[in-house]
Amino acid sequence: MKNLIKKINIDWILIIVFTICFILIGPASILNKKISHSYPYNILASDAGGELAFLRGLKEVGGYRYLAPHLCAGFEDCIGFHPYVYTHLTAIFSFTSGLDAHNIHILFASVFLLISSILMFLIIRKWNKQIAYLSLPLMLFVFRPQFRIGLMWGWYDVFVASSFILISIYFLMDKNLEKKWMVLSILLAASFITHVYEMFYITAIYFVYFIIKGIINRKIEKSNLIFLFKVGILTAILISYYAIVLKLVWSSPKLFRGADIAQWYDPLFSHFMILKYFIIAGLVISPFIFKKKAKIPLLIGGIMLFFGFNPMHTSAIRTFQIRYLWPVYLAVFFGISIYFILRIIRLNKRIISFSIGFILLITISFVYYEPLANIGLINQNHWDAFVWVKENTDKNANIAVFYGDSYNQEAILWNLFRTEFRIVESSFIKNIEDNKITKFFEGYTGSPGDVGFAYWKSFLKVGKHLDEEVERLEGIKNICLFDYLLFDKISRQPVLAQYNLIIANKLIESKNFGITYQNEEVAILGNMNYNENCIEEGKINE
Amino acid sequence: MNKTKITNVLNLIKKDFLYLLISYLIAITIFKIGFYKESFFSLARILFSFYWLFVIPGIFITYTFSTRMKFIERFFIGFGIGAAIIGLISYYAGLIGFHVKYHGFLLPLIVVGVAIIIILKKKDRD
Repeated sequence: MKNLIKKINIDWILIIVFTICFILIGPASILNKKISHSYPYNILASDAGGELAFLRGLKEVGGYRYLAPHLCAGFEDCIGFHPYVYTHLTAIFSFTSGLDAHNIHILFASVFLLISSILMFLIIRKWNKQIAYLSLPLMLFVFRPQFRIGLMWGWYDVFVASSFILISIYFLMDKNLEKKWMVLSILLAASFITHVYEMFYITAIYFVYFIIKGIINRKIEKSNLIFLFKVGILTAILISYYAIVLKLVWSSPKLFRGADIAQWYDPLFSHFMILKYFIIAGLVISPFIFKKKAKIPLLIGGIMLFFGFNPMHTSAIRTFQIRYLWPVYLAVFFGISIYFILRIIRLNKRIISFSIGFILLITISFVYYEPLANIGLINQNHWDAFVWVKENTDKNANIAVFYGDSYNQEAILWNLFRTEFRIVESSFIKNIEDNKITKFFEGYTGSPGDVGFAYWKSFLKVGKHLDEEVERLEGIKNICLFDYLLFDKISRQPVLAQYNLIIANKLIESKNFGITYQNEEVAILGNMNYNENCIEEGKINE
Repeated sequence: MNKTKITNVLNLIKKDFLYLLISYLIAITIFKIGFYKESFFSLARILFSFYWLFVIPGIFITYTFSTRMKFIERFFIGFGIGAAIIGLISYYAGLIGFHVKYHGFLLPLIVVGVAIIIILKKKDRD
């Protein structure tokens, strides 16, 4: 035991403290100190609802050759088009851990964000331990506005893929890179099928690395070329199926597009607040004090900073999604600036850097802590209604969804597990303005229609249900022909909620629909007669 | 692979798994500090799932190309590699019809098994 204590690496102490700070200001705050909730907690955007629906769908159907039918407007032959390694990982994790699907995503993505942060620490540490200690505190900024948007709004796969990037980069610092060609191929393939762009980032970093190496050595090693060739071939084999699907179902974007314009929710460099000056200082200093040796951490930081601005305006980069991880990638520049100050005052000793890193971790956690707990867009009443639909209706049932405050984040409705027709707000507003009671509403079938509900027509030929059956999938529909109708009884828009209730009551009075489920906020009516004239057209104020 | 090398690898695995157990206990403590409203058993099972699915397979994969890695690096590199391999295999297994509900039990066993075979057959590593 004494020997074991002697062997304790003080770096582990810093990692443990970092992890505690990370968990406390991050996922524990977001999830209100509890992992298992009875409903999807802190779902704040459509993508988060969508990822939940994908996960639940995969747990049901077991694989991703075809989309679960309710995620494809009821069709059973839609090609699985989404990069799905992340969803597979979460599905396996859900089965193994016993956690319900709706409790998985934020925790899972946070853990991988933690792993990515520590991997970046290890990369910097392999080069310079003191800079690594001083870099770690900035990584806590992943939970500051707006860097945390990715985690809060459902872009979870980015964080898993970032860990693959960082391991790939770590290999560049290790000798005998050539022996790791198979593992690198697996990482590249996994990146591609997790979040396509990350494979491009790894490739770009390796490309720049070998170019720089070739310039410094004034030659390109034959072993390097063989290594790249083997990695390329194996990666191509591993991604072949998904690459073909991607090519056939997605319309090819132009390689270059207009400049990305930041929206209010996107991370900006200014979101580093006062710490941005340290990052800038580190960026400016590093080429001068480390100019003799090409350093991998500086390479990653520089490239990710460059990609985060995307001056080439290329579609190969998701500009603002890279920025979610800027606190991780750019931390090295923060560390360098503090290290430089310590060097000037001749205090650049390992124990001092360690202590400052430790103090900064605690200080940043304390100063920047924010309670982030939030019920989110799906509360208990809505979730209970969604679960009721899944468990108590025929799997081929269709359901029309009336106005609800959060339903414009439409992927939330994919969790009904049924083909749902979402009535658009404009349809309600028009009817209210026209003082009209009617059975006709305009809307569309809610499902991930990114690729038009693509299906295999024949070998390597794809058709799209959306093109072929557009009239069935969208437009003006008669609500009398739906199996179920879902109404929100309460809304921040009282007029719309009242209109919902007027329609619902008319349907019940006509005895064509009956209440099959209701709670304080949601009512679900079931069709009893399939009478095309289930409601008498008329005026609201009659 | 000769007996000495097998003994060395076994000793390394034994040492790493002791550290793994310690790290698991520390992880439960950290998570209990953060998620104090979550039951101990639930946290233990959640963290065990991360270890079973990603850390253990990943660590075995790292043995196939390095026996000199420090545990601190092996743990986190292994975590990511384990996730990449398990995720990729699961994706393709799902495509051919093998239901994902069985992957959590079988895939880590398969990955560890394959890694052990590679370790035993390998002549040299760093």
